[in-house]
Amino acid sequence: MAKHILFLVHGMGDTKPGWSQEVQRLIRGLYNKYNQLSLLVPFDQNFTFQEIYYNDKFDERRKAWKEHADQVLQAISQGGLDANAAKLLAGYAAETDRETFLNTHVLDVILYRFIPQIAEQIRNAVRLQILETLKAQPQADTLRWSIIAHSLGTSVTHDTLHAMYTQAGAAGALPPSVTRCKVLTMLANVSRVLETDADVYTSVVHPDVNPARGVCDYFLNARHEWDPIPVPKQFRPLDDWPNVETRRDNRYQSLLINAIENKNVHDFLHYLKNPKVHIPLFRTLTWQSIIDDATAAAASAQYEASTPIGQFEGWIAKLKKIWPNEQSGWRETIKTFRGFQDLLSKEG
Amino acid sequence: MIMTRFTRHFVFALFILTTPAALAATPECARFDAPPIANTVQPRDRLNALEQNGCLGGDLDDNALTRVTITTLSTASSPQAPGVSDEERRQATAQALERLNESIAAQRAAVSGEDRFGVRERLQRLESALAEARSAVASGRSDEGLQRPAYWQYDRNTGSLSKPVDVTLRIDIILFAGFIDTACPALPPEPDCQQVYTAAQDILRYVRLVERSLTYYSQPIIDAHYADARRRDRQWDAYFDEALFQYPWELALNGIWLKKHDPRPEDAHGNKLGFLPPPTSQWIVLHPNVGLEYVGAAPDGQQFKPVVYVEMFGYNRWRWGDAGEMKDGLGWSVLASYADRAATKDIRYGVMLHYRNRFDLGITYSDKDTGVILSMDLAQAVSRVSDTARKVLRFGRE
Repeated sequence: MAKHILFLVHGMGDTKPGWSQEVQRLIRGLYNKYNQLSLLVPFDQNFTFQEIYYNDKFDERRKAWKEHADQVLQAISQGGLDANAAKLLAGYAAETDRETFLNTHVLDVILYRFIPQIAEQIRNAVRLQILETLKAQPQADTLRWSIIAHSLGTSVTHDTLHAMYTQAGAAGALPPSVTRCKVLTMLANVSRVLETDADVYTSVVHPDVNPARGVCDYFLNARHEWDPIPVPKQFRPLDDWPNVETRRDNRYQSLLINAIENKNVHDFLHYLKNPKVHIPLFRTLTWQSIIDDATAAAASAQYEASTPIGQFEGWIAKLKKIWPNEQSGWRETIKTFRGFQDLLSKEG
Repeated sequence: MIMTRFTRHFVFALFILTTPAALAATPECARFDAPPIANTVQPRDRLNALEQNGCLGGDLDDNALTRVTITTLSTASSPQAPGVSDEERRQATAQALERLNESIAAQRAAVSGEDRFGVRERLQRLESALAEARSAVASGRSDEGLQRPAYWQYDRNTGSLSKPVDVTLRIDIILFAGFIDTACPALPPEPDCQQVYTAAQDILRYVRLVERSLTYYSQPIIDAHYADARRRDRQWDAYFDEALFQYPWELALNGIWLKKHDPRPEDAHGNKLGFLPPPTSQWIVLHPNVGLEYVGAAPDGQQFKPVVYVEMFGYNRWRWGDAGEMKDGLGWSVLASYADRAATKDIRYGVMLHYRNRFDLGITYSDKDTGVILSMDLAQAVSRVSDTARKVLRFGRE
């Protein structure tokens, strides 16, 4: 049977193929905790995961710059030459592959935000991975798919979907009424602060009751109150976004959470573990009443009881010191992310 | 002729209608209508479960109509017929939809007596919507309409089909309010409940089978976008791997140039539409490099030497082939080279020609003597290059 495909899109950092295994295990485990849900819609009978991976595009650039620069430097040295300008230039390029925080995290964001060739290569690669998966499904069956994106992946996902559904040319734009995702879940959404070609509030990336509009049935936007990364220019649409009918139908859900299970409040898994995030996800993937309100409230209460905020007061105080300005832009996001990672590494 | 057609339809409808629903349930599906689930879960949730798990028109459904429909569609797309034409696809879809229509019509005609819950009316609305989809498929229409599968997606929260804003495209069928919720208000189910519950299952089966047929019909749209994505993916790979290598500052400058000459149209909000086309040119700026330089005026033994040079400024262009391959690369640059030679100037200036992104030939000048810089590929083509020189030159060519 054609299963509902859950595409997982990673964020920034040193990501390798297979990165989503832990996320997959977590989602499956959380899902099976809800008796009615797993009884009526067994996970493995209904859902399958598809990992989206684009970090290789960043890695390839960094590696190529380093290799080329090293070869020039080596040739200069072997040839007994002394060309200062060339040495200097090649030296700059060689720096891009040093194993530093700046290169493995911040550089990715800068490359995505400011080098359109790299951003486009990534968007097209993500588009290809989605379409390749959809094309591989049985032709005489329905297509059901959803996306769960995190951090930088939210920006990549937004930009990819916008371009995918507005692409002109011989094929024309992909009509959402042919296929569109059921649930678009954005965790720690930074798509607004990194937006370039399309404004996140007016692009086609929104839910809609009308299958001819929008790119998804449901849009879940999750933000942790103590996660500083999505704070600058945070994604916070008005109450009538994208239109009144869609909002009345609860197709856009803003999921604000604050329970802290561990210090890395920006972590993909940390977001998903919170019942206030995964219950709306499971409900929109199936139907609302499959997890009744009493069960949902009990799950949240239990999770919050197991994560007393008091034990993280010191951590919150440190987070406040690096807290970004909500009105600032991408520079603040990078600065905050760096400050946040520094804090994490110091605290172990 | 009319009799023959009528007889065919009658026999088909009889075959579908006389297939007992109970026999159509696979064990994975039968459990939803058996204890303990049947005793504890509301009919609307069981209906949702049957729909979600593919028990109504999905792959877990052993119903005769489901099998006939899938056979009709899969025969046209079987491995024995890999190259299904759009016309064959349209015909198979039309055939599948016609059979579904016959079945719905037969079921509607079979509803007898007082129809308290509106089974007949719902089937009638389904038939009307299907007629519009069939008409669009028959005429090969490609505009927005009920021939698009998303309109046939069932909303498990409201028990309805999609609710387009455009009233002409509305499929106005609700299975919860005024139907299951009225006939099956509480557990255990009352006698009326089973009849409505079965009718709701039938409707969802029809709806899923229509959606499957239309998904099959729409496949060429996905295929076309997939082919476009493949081609662009090759182009971007070629841009980074086959065009002249770009250092970070070159990539940034070329990015600015690209954005300034972005050909994409914009929507009313100023949002760019579609993907940025892969470039067909690149600027070369402060590009350090090494090569092999021949200066005839240099003393014997120093004429052919490794040289480091910086392409200060230049331009390279190409075109894209149909399959996304890079073709006809041609470029130039202004350069300054450095080599440690006695009797000639160490720093020389010149121009370089780039051909097909592989062969680089530079001419350098200093006072009255002229030098020639070769890339490794070109040096290999025109002369015997020592292993040492080859090693020195082997950058960016791996």
